[in-house]
Amino acid sequence: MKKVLLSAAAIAAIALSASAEQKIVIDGSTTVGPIAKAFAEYFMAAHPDVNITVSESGSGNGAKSIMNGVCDIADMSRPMKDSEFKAAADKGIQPVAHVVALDGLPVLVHPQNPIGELTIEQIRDIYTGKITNWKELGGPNLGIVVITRDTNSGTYETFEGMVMNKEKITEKAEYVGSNGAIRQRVQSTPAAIGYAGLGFVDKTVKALKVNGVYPSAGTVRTGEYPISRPLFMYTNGYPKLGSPVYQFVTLYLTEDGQEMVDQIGFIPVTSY
Amino acid sequence: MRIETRRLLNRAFSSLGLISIGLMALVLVVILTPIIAKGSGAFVFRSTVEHRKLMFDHWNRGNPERVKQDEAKAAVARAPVYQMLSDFKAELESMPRAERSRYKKPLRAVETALGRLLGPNPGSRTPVLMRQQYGATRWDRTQAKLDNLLYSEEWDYSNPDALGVKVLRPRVEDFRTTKLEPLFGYVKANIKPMMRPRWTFYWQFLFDTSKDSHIFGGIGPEVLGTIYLTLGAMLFAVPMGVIAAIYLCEYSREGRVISFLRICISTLAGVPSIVFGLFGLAFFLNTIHVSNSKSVLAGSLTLALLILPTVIRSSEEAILAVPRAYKEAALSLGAGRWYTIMTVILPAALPGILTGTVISMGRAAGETAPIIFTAAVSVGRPLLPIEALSQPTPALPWNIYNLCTEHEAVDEIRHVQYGMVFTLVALVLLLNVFAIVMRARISKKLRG
Amino acid sequence: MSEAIQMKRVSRFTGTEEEDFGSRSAHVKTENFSVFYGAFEAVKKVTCEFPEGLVTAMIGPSGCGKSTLLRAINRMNDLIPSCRPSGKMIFQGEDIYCKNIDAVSLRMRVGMVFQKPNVFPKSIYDNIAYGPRLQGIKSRSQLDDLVESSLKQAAIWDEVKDRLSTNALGMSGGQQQRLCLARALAVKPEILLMDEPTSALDPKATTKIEDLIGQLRGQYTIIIVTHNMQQAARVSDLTAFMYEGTLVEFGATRQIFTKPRERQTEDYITGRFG
Ligand SMILES: Nc1ncnc2c1ncn2[C@@H]1O[C@H](COP(=O)(O)OP(=O)(O)OP(=O)(O)O)[C@@H](O)[C@H]1O
Ligand SMILES: [Mg+2]
Repeated sequence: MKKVLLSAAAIAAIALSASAEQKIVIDGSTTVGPIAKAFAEYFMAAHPDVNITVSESGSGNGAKSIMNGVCDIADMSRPMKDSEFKAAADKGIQPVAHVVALDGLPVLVHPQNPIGELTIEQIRDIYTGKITNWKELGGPNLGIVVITRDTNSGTYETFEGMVMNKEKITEKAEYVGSNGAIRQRVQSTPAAIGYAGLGFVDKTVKALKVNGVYPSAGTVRTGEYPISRPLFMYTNGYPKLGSPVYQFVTLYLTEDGQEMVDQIGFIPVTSY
Repeated sequence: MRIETRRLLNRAFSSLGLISIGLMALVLVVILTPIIAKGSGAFVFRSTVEHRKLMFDHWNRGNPERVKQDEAKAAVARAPVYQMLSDFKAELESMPRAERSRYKKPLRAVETALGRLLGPNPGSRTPVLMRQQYGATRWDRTQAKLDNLLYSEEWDYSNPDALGVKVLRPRVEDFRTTKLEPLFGYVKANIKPMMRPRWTFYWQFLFDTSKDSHIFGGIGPEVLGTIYLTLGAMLFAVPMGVIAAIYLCEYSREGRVISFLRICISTLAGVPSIVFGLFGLAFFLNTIHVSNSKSVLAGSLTLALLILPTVIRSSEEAILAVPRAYKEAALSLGAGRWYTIMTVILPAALPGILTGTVISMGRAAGETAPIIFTAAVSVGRPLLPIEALSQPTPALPWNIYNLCTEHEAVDEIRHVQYGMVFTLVALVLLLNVFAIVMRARISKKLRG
Repeated sequence: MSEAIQMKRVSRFTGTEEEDFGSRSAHVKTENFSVFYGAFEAVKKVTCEFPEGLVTAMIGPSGCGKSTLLRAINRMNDLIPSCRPSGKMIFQGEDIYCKNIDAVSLRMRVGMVFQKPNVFPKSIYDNIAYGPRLQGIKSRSQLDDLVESSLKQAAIWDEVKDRLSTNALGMSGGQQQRLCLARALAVKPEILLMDEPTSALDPKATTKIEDLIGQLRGQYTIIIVTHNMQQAARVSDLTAFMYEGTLVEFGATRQIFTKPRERQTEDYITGRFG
């Protein structure tokens, strides 16, 4: 019996030492997800001894995860709130922000929808429920299907902050859990309106001009497009120089990192 | 008269039974056909030369000579395209500025579409993102990308009171009388020699890691993660469940506490799985810190809680179904309770316990909600068993959900999504078949 | 009718012509022994003695408490949660319902054969070896010997010796019942309880079991419950007649069947009765 235990312990020890590989756990925003995933694969290809896992559960959950110490990097598509900072500090965590990219928040409609342009006020009126038919905006006689993100997401909070002007979103709005889901809802519903990160726009949906400006890398970078935001990665304290986490969160500063951000559809911060 | 009514009732009942069984079969066919048809597309498909290049570059698969030849032949067929492109660019240089700018946007669109179809231009710098390093790897995607090159999608909103109408405008019209005009016809006519489609059985899809978040490669980490999570859940749930069932059936005296316990177990079985997920997060991760991040361990524990009621229930039923006579016989020979349970009751109850166990195993394999917050991630390496204690993993159910709702390029990778669904369904089916066979064998042994 | 029946105290069996069974010492005896199922008294203050080495038959109409009394002797009733004994059940000088008596070791000494054959879904060999293994016998040769001798004792050896490793459930009902008997014998009990052991068997198998009982007489104290009057008359030395939980009459079999002292006994054995 003793022998069995001893050999089991030996095997466990060997296995443990063999797996002395480092891990970086990333959680948070679905908007930052594509960047984090691309960075992760790029990083793992260069560092085979590091396992990076990325999950996309929303900015709010990312914040909670880093507060609870269950992730190393929290992706967020909005800045941390004071209350979150406080809660983190209470647990001995000091969130440090790294702005990895800029993102516009295109307002999306179905490509069949003849509307091509709205003002911020019109969008707000749609989302508060004041405008309920596309006809009121010069479109076809169709009831507007309002799609919005879950309140846990940074995308929602950005939209609320930059468009809604403290007004409440209509109760008729449909809440969905990710950028991809918004796109899916909009591409399958001719009367829908939604909003998602710049990286999620493809030809199955139509991005509207807002206040006369079309959302693009150029207009977001110059600030002409009115709804935009930085995308963050938060770490607990500034990572130790040279550590894998440090290398990871500074990837966006490298040329390759910028190219990835750009090609995924976001705006690299270094090219303002 | 009476006999007739009875006959009528009989006939009515048997036809009702037939109808319901037929309906069930129909539903099964309706559900399974697309899963199998589309899912098998992840394994068996017409691959292009790009796919074989990818396989060779990243997994060292294929004969180097043959791959080189393949590529060379495709390059020969593609050469005129690049020639036309550079001829057109030279032509552009000689144009007056005003005219030149007219072509700027359409040319960029053509170049992008061409890149998606054929991969980066030969001789240009290799892009960082893998999705841009290769053209279309599958023939079905090739068709879609070819259409995208040949036509631009535009919308006709001339009637403001109605919805717009999609208009496919040939891109060639943008380039009439230029040196780029023949390109479209050439690509259309020569797409086969350019892409060299060939039927492929990509069984490694099951084992390969994904490249560039599932745009290329397979679902190895997901399959492995699902197996870890399921086995882990069984490891906790089965011993606990069977012991609990033994206690409930054989040791406890029927009383208020026990009936309360039973009600609790039944209630637990009806709790939505997301509640288990949140509980797992709050308890295993945030309270007792079984690991310092999401992990297979935390996920397994959560799944174990989820299936525990089922395991207890089915084990209890199996134990209660063991004839009392066996127990009496053992006791009358002077066996104690424990000995009776181990030598007579458990062996006789094994088929039932096994069935319940495997059914809950299927459930554990397919559950998404409990692992969202405790174990599952979108991207990650395949883990060693020991790493499963501390690290999270991709897993089929979660990644199916993730691909279809959150992936930025979901339309490109429908086949991966269906491949995952197919694999998961096949996995569960396999488990069930295994259970049925095991059960039959054990029952046969018991029956003599 | 029940109010007409009074509690009888049957002491020693006196007045038998050929043999004085009373001179034998009692192997098991009950004193004012009752068994309750909840509030229902299934066995009512029975006092009697089962002498060592003899065969005692228990007869009586269905539901009169024969099985209950029989199962009380090796405490099989413990399995039924609502079942509660009172009074004394004395086995070799000790009340088996005393706190310090271990039911498990009691059952090794008091074997039982049930109404329906209840072989385990295991091989014939494993069925017989179950009890001995339980007692810690591990050596293969010892087990082999025990299996063979038990099967021979139960007169089934010749039928199964070539298929000891096949599943016991594949045997006929009569064979299974004899296997159960062999299994009980393998434990080497002192008392053998049989609850209608032949009720599910054909006449031939029944004869075999009856012959067996005849052979085992003397070595074991046997208590057998039966509805078959001829069987009781054929195999037993003593007969107990029970009615609605009460022991009505207990005496030498010959006497009970020829000159019963009680009206109820006579009515029952002559079949004039309910
Ligand atoms: N588990 C039980 N719970 C409650 N009552 C019971 C139980 N078992 C038996 N009884 C009752 O106790 C009485 C005696 O039952 P018992 O089985 O001893 O009769 P029996 O004489 O063996 O009858 P039979 O000849 O039909 O086997 C019956 O009235 C029966 O209904
Ligand atoms: Mg009975």
